[in-house]
Amino acid sequence: MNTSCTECGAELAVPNDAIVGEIVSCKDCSTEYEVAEISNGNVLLKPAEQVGEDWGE
Amino acid sequence: MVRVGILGASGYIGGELLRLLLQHPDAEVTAATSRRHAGEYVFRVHPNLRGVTELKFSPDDASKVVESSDVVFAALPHGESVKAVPRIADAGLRVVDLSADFRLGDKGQYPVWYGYEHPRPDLLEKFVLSVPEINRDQVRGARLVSSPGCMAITAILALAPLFRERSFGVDRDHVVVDAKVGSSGAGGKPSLATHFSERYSVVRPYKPAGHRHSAEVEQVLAAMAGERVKVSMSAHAVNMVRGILVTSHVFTAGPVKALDVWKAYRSMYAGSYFVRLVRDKQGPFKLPDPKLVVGSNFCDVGFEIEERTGRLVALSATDNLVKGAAGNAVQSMNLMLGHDEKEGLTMAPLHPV
Repeated sequence: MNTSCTECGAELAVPNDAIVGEIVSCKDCSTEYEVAEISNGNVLLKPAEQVGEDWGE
Repeated sequence: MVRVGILGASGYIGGELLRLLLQHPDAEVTAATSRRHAGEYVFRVHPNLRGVTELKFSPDDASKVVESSDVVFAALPHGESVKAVPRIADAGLRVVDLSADFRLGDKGQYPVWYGYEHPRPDLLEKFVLSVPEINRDQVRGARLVSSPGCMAITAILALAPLFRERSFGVDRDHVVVDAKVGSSGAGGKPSLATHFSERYSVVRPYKPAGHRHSAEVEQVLAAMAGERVKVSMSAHAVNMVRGILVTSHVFTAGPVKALDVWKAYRSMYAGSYFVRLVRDKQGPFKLPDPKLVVGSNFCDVGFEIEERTGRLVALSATDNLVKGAAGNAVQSMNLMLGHDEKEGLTMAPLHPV
């Protein structure tokens, strides 16, 4: 199942045996997505939760 | 097997040319000249090459180099190359020049940036300033090629796609290029400024305004934009031996989306093995860092957008001696000879360094 990364536009390959809740990551920019729903071979992704870094700003 | 001669082989760039060409599958180094070290084993000056070659430096005799070579790399200082190269070019050999003496197409720019009238303006028209990722086809057909300065090529590779994509409306009068370079960028000749006690730990703004490489960057970007571009460059010496990080600032006419910038970079560098796009969400290396290209011919390119001010920050990192000099020169030779441009250059960067 293929879709595209909303951050960088790269093709995002989701494994055919992916399950809801699985985390997939973009090869180009490493943005992580969580598989939210799978129906009729279509996959719906949502941004995965990220822990921000503190660089002392 | 192509026979290769190197003029000025005892400097850091000469050493790097030797390192790459001695391991190149289709090249045989037939001459490595050095006035100062003629007769000495190459590995006495470039100790990393001990066991790699038994070659000795030969005297600075252009006619002998012409006899023994098909391609000549000139790694001579600015002002010296212009004396040696015309004879080799006139003899019909292929030349890759790494000095600034044949980089600028307009002879009128030499007095401005280098303080001399060019003695062979006819050759300037024949030399191609080689950035293969931008003018690969021109380099393929060329017999005479010059390789850009290390900071120039690093800046050019980050900026060119932004000028090529006209919809960004990049302000051509306000392009700021901020470069940080390691000590090998200053060459192998010692001075007080390069003495360990004075050089170690510095972040030294050694050329905050008027850097000569501005002219090369302007030349390439103007060709890309179709109009004159003004580049303001500042250079800093930092605490590395190898590597350059260039942070370039441009201002766009309106808001620009990250997706469109990704698209501009991808469309320009599709099929260019040596340019890697780095804008990662994870890990400590989210944007280009010279630490991750050391020893390789890669140029890592990334960007960030500051919507509030309309600023687009383009970042690029190279190993100044490889993609910034010898690697780009060998890549150019490969193209001139009709070979795969990656030949002899696919080594991965070192990590950690």
